[in-house]
Amino acid sequence: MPSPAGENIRTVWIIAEREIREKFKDRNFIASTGLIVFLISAMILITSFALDRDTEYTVGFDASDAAVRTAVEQQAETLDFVLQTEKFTTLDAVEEAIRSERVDIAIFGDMIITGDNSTPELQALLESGYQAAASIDLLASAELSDEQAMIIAQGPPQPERSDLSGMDSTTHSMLVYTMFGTAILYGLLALMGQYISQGVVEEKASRVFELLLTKVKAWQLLAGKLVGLGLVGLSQILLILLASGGVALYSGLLTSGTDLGLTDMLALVLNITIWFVCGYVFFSALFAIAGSLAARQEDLQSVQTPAIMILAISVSSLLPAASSPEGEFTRFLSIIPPFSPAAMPIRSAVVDISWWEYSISFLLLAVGTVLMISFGGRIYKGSMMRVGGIMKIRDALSRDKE
Amino acid sequence: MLAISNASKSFGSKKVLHDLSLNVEKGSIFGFCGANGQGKTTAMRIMIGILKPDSGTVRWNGASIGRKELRRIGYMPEERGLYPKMTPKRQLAYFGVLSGVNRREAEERAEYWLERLAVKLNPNDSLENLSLGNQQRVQLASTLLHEPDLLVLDEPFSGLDPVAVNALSELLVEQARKGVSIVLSSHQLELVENLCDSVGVLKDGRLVAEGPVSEIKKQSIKRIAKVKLSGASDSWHVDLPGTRLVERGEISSLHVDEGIPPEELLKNLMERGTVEHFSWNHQNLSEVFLDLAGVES
Repeated sequence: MPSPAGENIRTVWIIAEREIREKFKDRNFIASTGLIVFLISAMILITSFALDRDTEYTVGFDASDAAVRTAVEQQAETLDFVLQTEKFTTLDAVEEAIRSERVDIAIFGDMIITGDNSTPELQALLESGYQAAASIDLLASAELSDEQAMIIAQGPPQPERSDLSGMDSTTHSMLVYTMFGTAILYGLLALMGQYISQGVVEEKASRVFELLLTKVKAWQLLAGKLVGLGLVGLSQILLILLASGGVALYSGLLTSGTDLGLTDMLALVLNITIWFVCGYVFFSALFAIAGSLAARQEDLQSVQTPAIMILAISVSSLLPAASSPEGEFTRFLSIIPPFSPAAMPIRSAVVDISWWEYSISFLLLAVGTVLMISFGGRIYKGSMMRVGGIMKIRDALSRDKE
Repeated sequence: MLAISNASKSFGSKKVLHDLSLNVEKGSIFGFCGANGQGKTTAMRIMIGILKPDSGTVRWNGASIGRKELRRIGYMPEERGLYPKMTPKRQLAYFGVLSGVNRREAEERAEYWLERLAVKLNPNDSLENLSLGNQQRVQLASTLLHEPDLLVLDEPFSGLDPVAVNALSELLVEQARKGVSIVLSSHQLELVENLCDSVGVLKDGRLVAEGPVSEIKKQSIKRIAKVKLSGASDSWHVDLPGTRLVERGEISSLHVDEGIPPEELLKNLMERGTVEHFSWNHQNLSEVFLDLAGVES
């Protein structure tokens, strides 16, 4: 004979398991997940392609002028331009290559030939390379040694720089990635919230609740739905992130232009994930309460609006947190629910946070979540026998006592 | 045995059940009668613990209805409801597992009941693809699958065709013979009369009659005489001993008091005119119910 706690867990899991099985068999769910993965992957590939077009160029050179080509290539390396080069022997061949867009820009003799794909930066690069090569020629004619000529060609020494802004480039990258990661996850959370509300109203809409209430308690039904739909939502998010992350890695977008190492990336993912999961439980309970107030799927939109508003307010804390991660206001936001799941990862990407601040923030969120689930359970129970329209929270709470 | 003692229930300021007391013995069938809104569904929801009575008690074999007892109850709500997107077999097995049956056993029983109740379906058909009659059968299977000791069925015959009504009646009798106690409500009073060992009539939340059908009929039956007199004055019924005119027409109805035998009434009538028609009317349960429930026929 299992203990009451064991029996409760077993019952909750039976309900959760049904939610998981049925959701994964739901064609609409499968189709919407596929569509999201497709759209995000397409967006990544388009962005990657656009970035490639911005930084990789094909440049035509005079086959007989190696000095200019070397100077341009050195400048390009300094400025993070990726160049493909092509050598030409006649001006006509250069012009034909530019017109057919096989080559983005070219320098032949003393002439720079531009086309539709020539950007001002690319022109400046070629001008600078040409001038550098010409300077070396001029200095060579002044009978200086090659070493002296090179020193002069490199120009005057640059002063060293000291950055007192307190945020090195790695930290800055962490902040930006954390902000975007958190914002994307919260966007997906709004979608998951809809699933949870729809799932919660299912028993009322199909009127199966009266039969279920002879077998399980209302809170077990709500908890089972939260666990089941929560796991479905998290696995959908994981699938979307893995698929889009794979595409981003394959296209090179994930690693291009960042100075974050593998350890930084893991810390970043862990930071975002832990707080997202905490926030997910909190907001799932909120969407479950919204679903409890409706008796039919048609009523869901209006009851979900307040939950989406609260979610939006929580996400809005990303902006002040990102603009001033070390400020007192951000510190406040990172501790108080429902802002903490969004603000804490941003702050912790930049600031070393003491263990007690983490603890208080986590504790308050846990207490808030427990209260939310308990409150939701009462509303759910009180509104179960209601079969039409939207129920007021006050009415649901008073009927809970019946 | 199911024993309900002095159960009362109010919703807000409206009292919908007044001191309901009744017993349902093991293996017997109890029928609830009453017009709509008289408290039948509330009484049944209290029996299965979905609603708590404001006062009074519900006991099953001497114990309060707890989670363990609830698992031994099969309930069919008046508002039918199952998961429309699930296949009947999967959802029957799900309800079985929630009632404590192990998964494999629940799946086997689901198959048994779908076959026994002749539910026509393809294995991958979701419930919403079945006819209403077949959905009704699946609902009944969900009530029986965990082999309950007590069946509480709210309007189980509603929406069924005559063949299905007969099949369900036979099934309920079979369950009762196995020792299952059954409480049902129905507006089909002939069915209740034929099927139930005892009935209860609810009016305004009060049990106005309760007991075996024969007893209720004996207690409540009205002695009605149908009479056609010719050559009598208009006031022939005034001062007719032990009677009261109920309905006047070509054939008039008289309520006859206890102790007035038919032959005495006939003799009195013959003294007032020529008796062209004289008959005693026996009420069936429907008429008794309408009378007790205060519903005009």
